[in-house]
Amino acid sequence: MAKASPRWQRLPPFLVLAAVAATTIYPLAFVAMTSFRPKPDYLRNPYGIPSSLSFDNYVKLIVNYDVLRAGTNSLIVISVALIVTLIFATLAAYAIVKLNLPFKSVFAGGFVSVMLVPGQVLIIPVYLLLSMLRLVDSLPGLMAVYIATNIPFDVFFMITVLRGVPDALIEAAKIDGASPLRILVSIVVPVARTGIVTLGILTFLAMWNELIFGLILLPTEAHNVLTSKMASIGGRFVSNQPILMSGLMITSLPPVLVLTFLSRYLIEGITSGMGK
Amino acid sequence: MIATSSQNLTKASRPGTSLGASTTTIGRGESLLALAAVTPAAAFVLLLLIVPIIAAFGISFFKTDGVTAQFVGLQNYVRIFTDPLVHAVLLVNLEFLIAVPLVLGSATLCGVLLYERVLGWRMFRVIFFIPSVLSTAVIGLMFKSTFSYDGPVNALITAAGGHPISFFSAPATGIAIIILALVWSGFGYGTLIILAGLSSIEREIFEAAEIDGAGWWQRLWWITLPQITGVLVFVSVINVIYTFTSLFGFVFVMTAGGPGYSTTTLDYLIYQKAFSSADMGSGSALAIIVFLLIGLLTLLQVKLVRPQEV
Amino acid sequence: MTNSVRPSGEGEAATVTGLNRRHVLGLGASLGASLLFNRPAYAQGAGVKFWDPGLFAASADGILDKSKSFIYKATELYLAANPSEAVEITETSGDLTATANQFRAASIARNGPDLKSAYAGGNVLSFAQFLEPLDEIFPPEAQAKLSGWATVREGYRADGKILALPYGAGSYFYVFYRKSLFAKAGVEFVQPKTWEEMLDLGDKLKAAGVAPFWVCNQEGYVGAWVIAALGGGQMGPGVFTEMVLGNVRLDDPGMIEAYKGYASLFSRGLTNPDAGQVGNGEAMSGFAQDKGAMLIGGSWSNAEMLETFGDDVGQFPIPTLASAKAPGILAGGPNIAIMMTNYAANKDAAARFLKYLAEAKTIDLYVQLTQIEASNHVDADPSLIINRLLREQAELIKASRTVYPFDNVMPQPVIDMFYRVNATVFTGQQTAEDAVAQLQAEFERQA
Repeated sequence: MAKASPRWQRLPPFLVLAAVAATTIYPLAFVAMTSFRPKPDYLRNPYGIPSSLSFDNYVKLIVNYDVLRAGTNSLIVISVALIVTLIFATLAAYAIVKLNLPFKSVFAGGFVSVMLVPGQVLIIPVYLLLSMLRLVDSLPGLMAVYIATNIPFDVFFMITVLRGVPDALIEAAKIDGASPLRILVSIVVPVARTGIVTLGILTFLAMWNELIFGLILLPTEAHNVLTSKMASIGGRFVSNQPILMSGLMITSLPPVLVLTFLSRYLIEGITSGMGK
Repeated sequence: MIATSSQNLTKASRPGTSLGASTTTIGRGESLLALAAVTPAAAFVLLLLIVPIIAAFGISFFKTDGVTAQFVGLQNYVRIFTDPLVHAVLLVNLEFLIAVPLVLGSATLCGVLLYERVLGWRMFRVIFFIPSVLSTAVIGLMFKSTFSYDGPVNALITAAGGHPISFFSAPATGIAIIILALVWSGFGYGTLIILAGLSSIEREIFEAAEIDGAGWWQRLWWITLPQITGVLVFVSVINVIYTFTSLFGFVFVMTAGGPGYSTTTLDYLIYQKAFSSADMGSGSALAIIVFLLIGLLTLLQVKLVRPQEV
Repeated sequence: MTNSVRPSGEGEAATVTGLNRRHVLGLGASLGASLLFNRPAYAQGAGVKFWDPGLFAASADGILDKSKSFIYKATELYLAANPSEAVEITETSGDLTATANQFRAASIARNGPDLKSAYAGGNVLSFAQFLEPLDEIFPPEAQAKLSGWATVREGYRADGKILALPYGAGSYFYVFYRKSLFAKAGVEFVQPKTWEEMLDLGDKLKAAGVAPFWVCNQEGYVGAWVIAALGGGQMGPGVFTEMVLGNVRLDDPGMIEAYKGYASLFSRGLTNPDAGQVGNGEAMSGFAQDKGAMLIGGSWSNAEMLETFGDDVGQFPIPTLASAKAPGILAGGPNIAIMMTNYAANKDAAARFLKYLAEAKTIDLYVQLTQIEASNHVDADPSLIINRLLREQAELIKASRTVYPFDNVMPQPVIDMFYRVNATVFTGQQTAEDAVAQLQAEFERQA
């Protein structure tokens, strides 16, 4: 379905988007460059061209902050929490949108409304709750919190996505004798896969960038997660910008990789469209 | 195409079963199955969110430091309603809402352009999302340096014969730049969601419209947008919630909430009150008020677009 | 009406938790995760747990550096000498609010640390209900060997229980100046005795084309240091502690004079015009780029200052106003303290480690490694101070009257407002009178 629009017509939107794109690339490039600069060099001319570059900042971070261990912890917590959240949210949204769920509006309204509570007030109650469950300072405790805090958004999102799946498709399979679970797995999920991958990216980011629970629920060094650990660099009145930037690079890299990798799926999803 | 196949199925495979009885049985079985499907998600939310929310609601009627508690009735609420600081900060928060339609507009535009495979779309769809990936610290740093006194924006102003501006020192310019930063960092997120929504529309609809000779803007307004209303409402609701519940880290890296309280947000006050000694009750009360406020705004947004639902 | 039970909401939390516990654990097991990672929260008997929010472990620029870290070295020596003991150091967030949240939550659940370092003053006193009084561990004869106790006594009362061990002689506020920039301007540096003299000195620099002051006051920290000095000068030593006790009002005329003097630094055009929007993180880089010949800061910068400027940097205390009742008062005071929790699993072991930390030679090690403050022990070895700036400061502290700063003693919401008005009064967006009235109102709201 190649469009035959002439090149000159395609250029103006390209230029606008390219300008916007430049503003998103610039800060990343600046942070990347600064992260390789020794501090004295940075102090002399923060926004200029560096006179020397080295891996020292990264070495310092890796030696003193146990980056590898914190990274492994993050990976474990997020991979489990992400998969569980996506499965539970998809099931719940499927029940709400496509099945004959009793008290449908109570469930739907409930999931949406818990999102509206500013999370800061929940920190202490959640801590006490986990403490009673003996889940403080353990990775499953943080997993449980990440699952619970991401489910409302994910259900809300999946409700929007599943509303776009034509009922006719499901009716057809139903009449064909397929069980609701079978329909979910073999019809609904494949059709909604672009939405699910998108949601996977968004949920990954939400979990990856979460700071407060990661910090408060896992005090012991061996259990620290990466983002919280990197965010705790720096003191009250003092800072070392180049090392902070190295920390930011370390925390930004995984999401950028995930995005680049998964965007291939997204593009496929969009290219093939829905109306197969 | 879908419609055709389902009609064929209806005709072919299920002639004359005793429809009445079987629907009820299927209905009841399906209800149970639906309940089972929603239970895991609901259980997590109930235990780890709703229970703490009930706890916070309870705390809001006490004066407590977490160890000792004194029942004060509605006093925490009364104090909040009479606190000039809360009024000022609430107004600031409402000003930040300007970012929501801007995010929605730019995300829709970008989403549609990418969907129509504008030149370089594969590259853009990754690049635009970068701000959402970057931590608030990076975004804050970038905006601080861009709008700093000897930064590029002031260099342009000076070149044009103007005087450099201390952007973050005045409330009006400070808020304007934070809104700009919000739009900049949020449009990629919105674009991604809108793209996902667009991808579930059948392309044939657009092609038909194109053949009919409808202009680009006409197609956008009459065909594309109505198809993705649900997604647009979603993006808008999420952004409103975000504005009220999780803005403060973002704002803090740029202005530290200042000058004065002119860029401080409600969630910062909650954070501060919830943890300053002996004031957990007041923080909880403020959170409950914010909850009711966002709830109202969310209902309004949904009703505005789809009066038949909710 | 006060009863020592948790509020009803949390009571409900407990019941519901009891019902769902099995269910949740079951889910965990089905994920296979709990088998791998679940463990009892805080195994008892793991030794003394010490939480440090970067106060003892970090290097001068706030970065954790275990090879140069005082607390890691001190613990290593302690364990070598006492093989039967066990101590576990945990670095918590350097962010003040985050670390306070964590400590409060853990303390309510009674599974926090045995010992914790914190900023002295308000940050210790506001956790009083979780702290073990140290009066028995440090009886009067032990107390006599150390200074700084007044900042960690319950309610700041002379007879209040000791809630923490003050550590180090404290950090004080100074004006750092660049000798080379004075030379470049052809202005002879004469140490100003009053705030007004300092501004006059600034005028001379400005006339000679050298930017006098580099001020990064977006967060209002610079204001906090200046108001501590000017307010202390106008109202005398101990004034801010008196304010907390309700004996002096926050809108005292002395505060208004302090704020007016402070704001004149900006209104006379002696600072960078963007002083209100530059964050404190840029202080050192701007100073290094010659953006001002003087920088208002404190002893926490000692190491960085010498490292960056060597002999080119000099210092003098933030001068007081000409009308000062206590001229030349030095603002600052005990900065760090170590507290013990009243739910500590092993109080005896914690007390032993605390006593070790309070020994003259342990504090000497701290001074030797950090070079940001002197020892607060009478038997300290002054030869361990190798940083020139710190040596000068130590002499000065001995010779001066001091005032403990506003933001070390006030309740957190008042401190937060203090920082905010510091920023706005400086740039003239708010009057001094208005600012102090606002502070007084917030203080009353907290009482």
